[in-house]
Parts: sequence; structure tokens; C-alpha cells
Amino acid sequence: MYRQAAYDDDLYRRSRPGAAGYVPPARFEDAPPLPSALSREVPPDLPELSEQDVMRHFLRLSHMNYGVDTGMYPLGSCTMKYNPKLHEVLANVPLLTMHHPEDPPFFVQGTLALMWHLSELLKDLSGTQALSLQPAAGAQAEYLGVRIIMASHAEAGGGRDEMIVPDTAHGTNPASSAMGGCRVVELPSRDDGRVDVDALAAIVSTRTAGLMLTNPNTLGIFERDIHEIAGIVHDAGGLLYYDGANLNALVGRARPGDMGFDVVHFNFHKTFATPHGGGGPGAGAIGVTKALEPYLPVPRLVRDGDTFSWSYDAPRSIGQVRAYYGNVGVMVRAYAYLYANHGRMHEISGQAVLNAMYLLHLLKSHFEVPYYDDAPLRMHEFVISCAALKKETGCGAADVARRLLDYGIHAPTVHFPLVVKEALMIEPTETESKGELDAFASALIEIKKECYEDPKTVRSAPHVASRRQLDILAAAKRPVLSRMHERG
Amino acid sequence: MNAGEYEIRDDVHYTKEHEWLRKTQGGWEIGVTAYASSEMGDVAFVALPPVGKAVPAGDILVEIESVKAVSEIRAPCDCTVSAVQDVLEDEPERLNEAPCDTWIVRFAGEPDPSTLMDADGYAAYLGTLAD
Repeated sequence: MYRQAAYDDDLYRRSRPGAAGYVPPARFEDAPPLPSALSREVPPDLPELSEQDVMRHFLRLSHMNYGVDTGMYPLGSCTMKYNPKLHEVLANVPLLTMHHPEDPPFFVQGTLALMWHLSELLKDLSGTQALSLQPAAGAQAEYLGVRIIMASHAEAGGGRDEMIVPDTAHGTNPASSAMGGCRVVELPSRDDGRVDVDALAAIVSTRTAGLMLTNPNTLGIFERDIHEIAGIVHDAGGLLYYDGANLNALVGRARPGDMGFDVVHFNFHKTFATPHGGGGPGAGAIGVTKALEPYLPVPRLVRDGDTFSWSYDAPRSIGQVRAYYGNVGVMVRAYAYLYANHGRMHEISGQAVLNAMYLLHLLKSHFEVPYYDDAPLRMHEFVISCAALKKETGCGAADVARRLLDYGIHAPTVHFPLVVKEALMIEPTETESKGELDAFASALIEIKKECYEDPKTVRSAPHVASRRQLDILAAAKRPVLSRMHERG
Repeated sequence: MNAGEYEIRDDVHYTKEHEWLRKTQGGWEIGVTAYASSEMGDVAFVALPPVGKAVPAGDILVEIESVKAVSEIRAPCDCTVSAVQDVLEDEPERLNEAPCDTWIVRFAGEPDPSTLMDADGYAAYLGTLAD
């Protein structure tokens, strides 16, 4: 079994006067001292450590890290799949990294060509007619999409300010809508976990700006009424936004553009195997229909024969959502991934769905699966509920999730989507093997047993991870954000 | 009375959104039920409206942030905030410790009686909710 390393040392206690990671050359010893006006009166409060102390400290900290390179990371709707390391090598080729956004276009034709071909591949995968690589993340793409939708309505006379968002939506959807100037109208789900089409028909009006939808939805259920849904929204004069967070379930098999979506975003860090997190950089390209092309941000990447250049000549554009044209390193990784898998992207989504369905099959007799009776099929992710378990044992979703850390596995998404009580939202991705899926299911089933036999151990978990249970309430109420605070 | 593990007071009215309402001299008090408190989990923050604010029916009156999610109390009718439970700014946990004793906002306004339940009605309503 894999376990995170535990390391809890205080470098200040390890400090030894005179210890240092360097030996100054002898000639510096005779150098005149700094002018007193430039010298500190009190030396900085830093520990004195040897090079080996420092090396061990940071390497041990790195061992406490948990990522998809150390183990399974089944965080629902986040698509934490393995990123081939070859893409890192390619993204770090000096020919690509030693450029500046202000380089004249003739100097960077290769990079611009890569962006162009990447855009073509993404348009083809999504069924959209025009595309911008500018947004730096999915949420920024959502905001941009809302702005594009609002700009097109404004030109048609305005008066549309309601964005419809299902109750199963990712939290970014209502947030982006509100930031883009819309009032959010919540759309309920039916007993089968899908959008309530009748409710939608009753909600749309001349104030409808659009509908933001992810397909499959956050329960992992495919919105099979999508053509009817698109018809209702379009007939009312609204537009459809595709939240690309769950694209990994469909990529290479079905295209949001063909379903009737007018705006589509991509999360490169999910579907196209770019590393997550670490504060970025990210990328969230956006594709649109021909009718919405005029509103895309500037600059535009344009092609004339074999020559690529930038154009700012777009009077109806909404402007810019960030400087320049996106994060190039992320585009290189995405392009490498799409190039390497060209013609077989459908195998990626197929395996992702197969893995999720297999895992659901292993777990469904042990945990409640909401909406299962009305909709037994799931796509790339699924949601189980610990509501009954909590009632019977006192151990809820968060307790089960924390106990998983003791088994050397990252927890799934908890307490989401909001329509499911005590939810665990599980997305194994296509890159986990059958052996890993079996081990994950065994761990969850074993933890369920523990909930009945030894609930105290589950509720006080984790016990052997790099950290013991954190006080999340205190962290939310009284966050301590500085180590200096602690040292006084 | 109690419905399962949840305390239900007889002297207040209830909404389907798991709020309780008490008629006072010159207005109403609103709080969350024991069931709502349990469902939200540990409350970390309560965003109170300013006193004197007019809130149209259905708009957000109070936001309650727990370790699980953000929940909202929406105005049960057109109301004007007459007082708020300031102590919740420092002690939001009161909504977990004593939800039935902790009014959150006092307001002037007239909730539609047909949207409210009495204690028996609310207990029956809780019984209909699927686990």
C-alpha cells in the first residue's frame, strides 16, 4: 500500500549558529563592509542551515505532496488524468520558450502555425466555426462566453438578461453569469437527474439570454433531450453555452456544436492532459458559431497563405479578457496530445466511460446511487450518496473521504452536486488501470464496513496521511495565513 | 415536539425551505430549523443584511456559509429589515448549537399564511422528504 510521507520539522529548531550552505571565497573576507545606511540593524530572522539540511527539507516536503503521479485522484468533474511526460519535454523546448509576446510575427511563425493548427483541431472536435485561444482558464472562458452572448443580444436590441442554469451545474456557471451582468434563473432536475424540459419551456421568455449546460451533467448522466432543450432556448431567442468541464466523456464521439450549442469552452488541463493546479498557467479556449465570430476577443490570429499574423481589426469584438493570446506552453502540451491521439480521441472518452461504469458496477450494491432507478447509465463520472450511512453510523461523505487518505488514495469530490445529500462524486478517468479501480472500490467497501464496526476511527481520520484531521471550521472562520503570525 | 432527531417548536410557523417564523410585536423573526442546521453542517459565516434594507419577496435576505456549501434565506414576502442578530458575526456556530433559539433577522412585512406550515404540518413535511 502507498502512503504519503509524514514530515513535521521546524527549521528554526534545526538551526545551528554558523551553519551555511556556502563558503565565501577568501578574498571576500577583506572586502570593505557595506555602508552603515545600507546595513540591517538586526539580522533577518532566518534559520542557519547547511545545504544538506535545506535539500532534505524541500525533498521531504515534496514527498508529502499528492498528485496523479503518486496515485489515483478520482476528483469528480476535475478529470485528473495522467499527463504524458513527453508533453513537458516538448513544451520546454527552448525554441518555444525563448519567445516574448511582443516578438514580431515573422519571428514566431512556427508558434503561430502551432496555434492555428491547434485551433483547427479544436473546432473540428467541438463542431464550432470560430475559436479563440485567449482565455487563461475555464472560468475566464465562461465569463467571456457570457459577454459574447450578451454582446450579440445587445446588438439585437437588448432586453435579455436572464441566464438559465440547471441545479446540477458547476458553481462557476452562475458565478460567470452574474459577473457577466445576468440574473441567474435556476432550472430544476427531474427524477432521472436530467434537465426538466417542461420546466425549461415554462422559464424561457423574451428576457432569456441563454442556457449554460454541461453535458453529461455533474451526475455523469447524458442530457439526451439536448436537441429539444436547444430548440426551446433558440425558439425563445436565447443562446446555448457548453461548459466543457465534462468534455472528456464525449471527446471524439459527439460534438457540442452538433447538439445545438452556440458557445463551447475547453479546459486544456482536463481534457487535453495539461497539468492541473499550482496556480497555473492554464488555458480555456472558446469556440463559437459563425454568427458569434464578430464578438470574439482580440487579437485574432489570421492566416494569409502560409503566413500568420495578429489582427485587432474587429470593431464588434468584446475586447480582451487577458493580455496577448493565452498561455503558449499549455497550447503546446494540448497540441502534442491532440497530435499524438489524432483519429483516436474517441478511445479516450470510451475508456473514460468504461472505467466509470466499471467502478459504479463494483460499488452500486454497497452505496446508494441517486437517480439509478430512473437512469442507470453514467458517462465519465458518477455520484454516490452516504446519506443513509450517515444516518446509521454517523459517518458521512466527508468522513469517508478523509478515511480514504489513510488508504493512500485521494478523496473524490465531496458535497457536490448540491442536489445529492452527502455526495461523493467520482471520476476515475481513462488512465487508471483495472487493478487501480479494483483497489479503489475495495478501499471504499472496507471503509463502509469500518463505519459500522469502528465509526470513531473513521470520523477522526486521517491517521497515517501527512496531516491529521484539519479543523476546517476554524480554517474558514479564523484563517492563519502567515507563519510569522504563529512565531509572534 | 420532535420529528425524529429534530426539535420542532409549537409556537412558530415554518416554510418549505426549512425556516421558522415567529410573529412578534410589530413584525416577524426568522431563523433556520434544526433540520436545516443539521443539513448545512458547521456554519462558518453568516452574511446579514443592513438594518433598514427593503428586500423584495424571493430575494436573498441572509447568506449562510457552512463547511459544505453556501445556503440562502430568501425573503418570504416584501420585507424591511428592522434588526439583525449581530452576535452571529462572531459566533455563527449558534445556528448549529441552538437553531430554534436563534432568530437571525427581524423584519416588518406580512408573509402569505398559505405558504406557511404549523408544527404538525412541518413534521409531516419532514416525513415526506426522501433521505
